[in-house]
Amino acid sequence: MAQTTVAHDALQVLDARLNLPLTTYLEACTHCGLCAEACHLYRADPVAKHIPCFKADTVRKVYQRYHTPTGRFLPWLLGLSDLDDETLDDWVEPVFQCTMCRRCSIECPLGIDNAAMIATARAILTSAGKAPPTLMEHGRKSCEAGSPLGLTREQFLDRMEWIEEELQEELDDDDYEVPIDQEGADILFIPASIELMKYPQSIQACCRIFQQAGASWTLSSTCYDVTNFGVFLGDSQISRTIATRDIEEAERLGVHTVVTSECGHAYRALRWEAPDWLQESLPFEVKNILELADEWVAEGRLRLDPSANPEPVTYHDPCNITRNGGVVEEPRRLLSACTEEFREMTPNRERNWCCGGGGGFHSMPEYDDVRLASGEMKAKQVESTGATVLATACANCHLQLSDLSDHYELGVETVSVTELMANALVE
Amino acid sequence: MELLDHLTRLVFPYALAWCLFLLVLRTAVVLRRGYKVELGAPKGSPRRGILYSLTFSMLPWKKDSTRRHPWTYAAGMGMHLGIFLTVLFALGRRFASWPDWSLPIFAVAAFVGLVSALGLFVKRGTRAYMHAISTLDDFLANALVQLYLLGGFLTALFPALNGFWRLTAILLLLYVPLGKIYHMLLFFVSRSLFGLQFGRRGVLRHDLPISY
Ligand code: SF4
Ligand code: SF4
Repeated sequence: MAQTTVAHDALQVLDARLNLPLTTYLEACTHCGLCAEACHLYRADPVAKHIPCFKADTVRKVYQRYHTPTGRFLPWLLGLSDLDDETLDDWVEPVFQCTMCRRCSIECPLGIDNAAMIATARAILTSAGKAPPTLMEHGRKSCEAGSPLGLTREQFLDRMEWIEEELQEELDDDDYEVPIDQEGADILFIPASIELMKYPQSIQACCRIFQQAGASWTLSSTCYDVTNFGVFLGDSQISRTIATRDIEEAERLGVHTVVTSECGHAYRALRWEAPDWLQESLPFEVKNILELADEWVAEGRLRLDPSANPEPVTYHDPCNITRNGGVVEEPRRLLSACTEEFREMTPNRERNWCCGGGGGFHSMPEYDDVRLASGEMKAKQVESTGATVLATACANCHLQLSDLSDHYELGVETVSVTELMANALVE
Repeated sequence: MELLDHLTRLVFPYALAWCLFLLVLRTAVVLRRGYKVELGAPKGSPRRGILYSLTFSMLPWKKDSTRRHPWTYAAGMGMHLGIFLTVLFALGRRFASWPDWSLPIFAVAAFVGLVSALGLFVKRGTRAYMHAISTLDDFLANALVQLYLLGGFLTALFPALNGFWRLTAILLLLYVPLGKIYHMLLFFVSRSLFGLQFGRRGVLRHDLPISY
């Protein structure tokens, strides 16, 4: 069958990703529609482009048209046509208006991973130069400058110096130093650029936790941003480049553990996906700061006084920390130990509603309205807990939750879990 | 009727062979893609994840969609149970004859399956969001299943209609490897992959205490 150039290029991207899971998901969907209402975007605005399987059908139709006998000989039966440039243009909104949260997989009777197909559709669009320009720009900056927001080494060091001064004051210790580039440390801690730019108090809290636990740890002045925009673009090359940078730096410093800050997608990428991208097991452990803090509390290295946080607190499970990361109980144990009143949202854990801020949404200002509207389910969840403090474990979610608090007039204070912990630390 | 019975008897083996051959071929193509074990060190148990995924995670109270759409869940269950029992009815008849008392049970099962499938067909045809995701395959697959269930229902009551039922079975067998009904095989693969990944990552763990 003659292929258009567009189809040829798309198939190259698709074929490089076709493995048993992806092929199964492409083949198995029954179009039952049960995933529709599992998606926060569809619940906020029930239109076709927000139905998870509709999004996944973009790439499914390419697979069916060019890789299955029915698609080749009876395309009308499956509603298929040749892939052309206009079709790709039509993909952009459904495919990029998704947070890749995978809540729809939990609801699907077949357990189909729509996000895996949406990521493939993103990869095809990115390679065709059709991904949203700011997202592509952030991906480029991540690779070239080490940070999607263009944060330079000097700015990073400047920010850390400020945090160091704050901590000296807090600890009443003029000699306190934030360790940077210390070879032979046990732990390399890599924060995220959103925290460095918007939430330095989260990083300060992490430093305080390391200090209190007496940890051997360091930051790196060349690898100071753990965010991985390759994930949002579906671009394996960018994903690999960023992960390799983190891995090489950890190896150079000789650490045993790399700890990611409260950044959801970065944890998921480095902990679960980087070994597969690079086809090798990592020579160190990867942990989220909350996993480590949880271990330290259990070991008695950290002690927490819940009376330091008397207000009712609820917790938003970041999709990439909980559903896609497996850090499920740790934040709950920590919050129960460092606050007087921890209230669960319903539903929670792997069924929690996505806040609507993931998948690179914050880097696509043209979709700001959609992003805010899509947080409606989350806003209702927060409101019904009656909590006045909303904690989360992802800087990206933090940003979105602050926006939702303003937009839906929730009147909650948004904080990171580590901030509440640091506030409750006792000597 | 006799002519139909005779003709369908002749054609049936070919339809079955076509179906099995293409199913094996299609499955071989899927399996050929290969599965690489994830390299990130596991946090939970893949085996428990798969077990959970194939059992408890599908219980009605485990899903939001069931609570919101109890009739769709019931219709889905009714249709699949109806198909299963009707196929069992057909298979049993190939090798022996079912006792008389069992025939009304198969008739009821096929009827429930038929009504359920019809309900899902109507839902697909009338709801805008279902329209947006549906193709001809979705309607045709359902219609052929309905026809087959109707055949099973009528034959359970009037055995002389066996030829008609076999005709519906032939049509279904010819269609199965071409369209979405193929999901009957991939259902187990898909759910296992889901359980494997979520289990491995330690996401599906509800038994841990929330205290130090
Ligand atoms: S719930 Fe699963 S099978 Fe049903 S339409 Fe959505 S992805 Fe497809
Ligand atoms: S991954 Fe999340 S945002 Fe994307 S379609 Fe599924 S539920 Fe919706």
